[in-house]
Amino acid sequence: MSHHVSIKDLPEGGEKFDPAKASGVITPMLGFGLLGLFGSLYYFAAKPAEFAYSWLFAFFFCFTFVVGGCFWILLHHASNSSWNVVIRRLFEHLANMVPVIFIFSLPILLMPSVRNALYEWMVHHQAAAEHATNGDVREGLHHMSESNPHMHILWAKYGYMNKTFWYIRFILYFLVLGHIARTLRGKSLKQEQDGDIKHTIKSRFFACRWLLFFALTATFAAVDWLMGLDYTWFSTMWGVYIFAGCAWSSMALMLLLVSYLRSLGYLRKVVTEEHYHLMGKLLFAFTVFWAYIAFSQYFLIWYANITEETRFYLLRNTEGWRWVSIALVIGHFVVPFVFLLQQQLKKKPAFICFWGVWVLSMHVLDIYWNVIPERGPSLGIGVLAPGAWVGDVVALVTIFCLSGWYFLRSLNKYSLYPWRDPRLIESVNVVN
Amino acid sequence: MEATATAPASSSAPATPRILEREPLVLNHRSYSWITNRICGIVENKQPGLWWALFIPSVILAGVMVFCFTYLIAAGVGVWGQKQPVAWAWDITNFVFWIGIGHAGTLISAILFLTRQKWRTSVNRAAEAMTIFAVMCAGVYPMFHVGRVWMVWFLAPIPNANAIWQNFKSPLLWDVFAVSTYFSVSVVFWYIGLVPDLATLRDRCKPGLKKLLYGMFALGWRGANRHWSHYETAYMLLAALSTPLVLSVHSVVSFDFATSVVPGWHTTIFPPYFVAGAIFGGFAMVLTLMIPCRKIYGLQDLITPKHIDNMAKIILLTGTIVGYAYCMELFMAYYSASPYEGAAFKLRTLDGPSVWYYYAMFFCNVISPQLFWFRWARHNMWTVMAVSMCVNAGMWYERYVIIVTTLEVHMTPGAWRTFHATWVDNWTFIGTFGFFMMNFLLFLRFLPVIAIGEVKGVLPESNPHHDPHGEKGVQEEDLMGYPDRHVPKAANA
Repeated sequence: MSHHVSIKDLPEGGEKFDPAKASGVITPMLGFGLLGLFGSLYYFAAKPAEFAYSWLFAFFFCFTFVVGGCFWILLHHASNSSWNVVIRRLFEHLANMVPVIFIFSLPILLMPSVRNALYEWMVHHQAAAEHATNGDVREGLHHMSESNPHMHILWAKYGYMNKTFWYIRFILYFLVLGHIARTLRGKSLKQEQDGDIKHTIKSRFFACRWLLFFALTATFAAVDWLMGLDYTWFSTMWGVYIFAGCAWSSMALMLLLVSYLRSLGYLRKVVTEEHYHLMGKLLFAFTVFWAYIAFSQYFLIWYANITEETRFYLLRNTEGWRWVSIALVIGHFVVPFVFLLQQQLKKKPAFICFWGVWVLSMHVLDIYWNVIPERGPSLGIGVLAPGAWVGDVVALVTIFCLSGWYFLRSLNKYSLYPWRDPRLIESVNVVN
Repeated sequence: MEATATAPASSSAPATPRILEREPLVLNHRSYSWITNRICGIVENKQPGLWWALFIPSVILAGVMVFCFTYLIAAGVGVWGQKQPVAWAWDITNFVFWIGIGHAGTLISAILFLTRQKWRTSVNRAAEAMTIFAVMCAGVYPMFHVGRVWMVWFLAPIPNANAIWQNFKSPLLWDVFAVSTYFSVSVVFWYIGLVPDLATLRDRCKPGLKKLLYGMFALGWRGANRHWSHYETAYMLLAALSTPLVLSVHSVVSFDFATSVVPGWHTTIFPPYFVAGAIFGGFAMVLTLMIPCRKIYGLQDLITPKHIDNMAKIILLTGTIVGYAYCMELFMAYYSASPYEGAAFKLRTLDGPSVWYYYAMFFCNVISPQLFWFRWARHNMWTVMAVSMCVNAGMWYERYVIIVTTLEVHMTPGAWRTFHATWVDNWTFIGTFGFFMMNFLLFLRFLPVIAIGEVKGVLPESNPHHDPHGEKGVQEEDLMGYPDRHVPKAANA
């Protein structure tokens, strides 16, 4: 910081985004998104079972940003921190993408062909319903377990893993995240109208309480949508693992977004190299945290080597997936760890943006590696089913571009930073 | 300020944002010299009667610990209560308990330093000291548990007469490396932080043995610009080095259990769950020690309600994380549909021989910290002490639940056996408390309990941009109308 910024140096009313300035990005995003949408419709009609995995992968990838956005605003309020005030509105906007992401989740929620392709347990439940005399799934599973011991697993956890509860939870995840995002942005916007400091304090109370529900939402969403792909597999670390990726990738996205907005002339008075440094440090911290969690989970399952658990890693350590696993170790941890370690480099926007792109690529790979091997071992990279990856790309382009388009298109509704926040000046002048 | 506190939210509020001020970390506008005098005074003046009242029983109890270990060497490990299938009992429980306590110090020193949490300065020195003494208490248990303590050096990968090579595949050996590394780095970190303050003590001493010793350990510190510059670089590097150690030690301790195939031990969440638990237990012990300390030595202006409040919040957070892990374990025991996992947790929570330990653990670690949601509870020293005591006990129960209650009912029902502690178990454990307290009291007696140089650094006047006449913002306390807010009092020497 060259000099101390005071309230008088900042424009009253904050800064408003003009989408016209960003048409170079917004229009192509819409174009690619619509093209992708047509492609997706084709794939849903032509290869629903195969494309279901592509869609889940792309949907979950974008869902992680929303989870990450909610986490960062909750954390910032709960920890009463100030440095983040200048970027908080962008995180609030990211978190408020919940309804959009919900729309993209509808094929999973509503299309039986997609659900059944993804979640084998649902097929078994259907068979059990047909098997039982009165359509009682639980009873049917019990009968089926006599010939197939795996059905015993489904019988034993029927209380959690049943369709009705699954639908309820599905909706609940979006309601909780939506409530968090809406309330915190609502309080922030109210403050812009009346300037009352109490909104800041109320937000803190809200954030502390809702962190708890957030943790449960992120955990069980990860359990239902990804762990549920293989109903026999389980890991207590799973929720933490997915959460680590959410926080990591959303921070990387934020770095890219802030840099893009600065390149258009916004936020230049409020976001300094200190903010880049802080965001870079958090990116580094979550690089390590993810590696710690991923390593612990892998290591403990590898070391104990019991058949109940090893399937997950066996699948991902055989055929072509082995190389993806190794790439994750190097690309998701070793390389960013080495480069993000250096303080001076973290203060350089161009440098940190490169790592933002890198992190997002690795996050794509991570989610891909988590979802796609379940499509069938024969679809490993080594012997990839012809054209299967095209569907994956199409789904990713569709959801990412259309969400991105909506995000940027709606960014002009409010100031880019909460200009009447009582910690704004502390944030602008932060030194670390 | 008054007007702000009562002004209703309306459109007539000024368009420019108001400023929300941070609470001061040193109360009553204490000066640099007051801070030096108050902290050095603890070392220079006679200790209060209470110090002796605590020190003498501590020394006696430390002696009891020595006696218990001597008896164990003479008679064998059988004097402890463990027998198959409970081969790990109080010894490993106590080892993990003390190692956990030893986590807060380095967390405060390293992680809170790297995250620029300025409030750490008032408590880091004592917490680091506590860490070192706790790790010492922890270390003795596995040392004696090996059976022949004089052979313990076989754990080190150095050539020995029988050409025995260590089992590098065993997490128990990793423990040796993890704990010894942690101990070494913690001692160096603590000592480096002490150097400027040792120089302060040296300069205030009359010539004599004390001055000589303080001078020797102050390494010729003169407070020069170059000294501070090197010191800060070293401190930062040590903080960066210690941070992974905070995570690694308890992760490796958790591997002792989680790498096994014992139901109730093998679960993937163990590493972060153990680390969170260690921070949780460590902070409870810091509060247990520092609340009486600030009262006895008149340090209320340096260890303020804000500090206690922050630590209580960390206890609430980590306690809730620990609660999440407990619930996740239970959920996955159900979700996995594994009969072994299910049985282990059923025996732990419903019909095993030591069920009450589980509920004692759950109450102490998950329920009792929930009191800290309320500000009054975080600001009432009796409540804070009570919850901290609960957590201290709860973290011991947690290790007992994981280790003993699992082994008591492990796999073959015919071999089940309930563990009963012997008098040697009891007195060894009590003895380690004596040893811990003795060391801590000696630390209070001879070394500055608060990092003098660091606390001065967080005073507003230490900020080169500080403007004492600048426009005041709003204090959060004013807005909330708390009855017990700390109004600065007139400073008295």
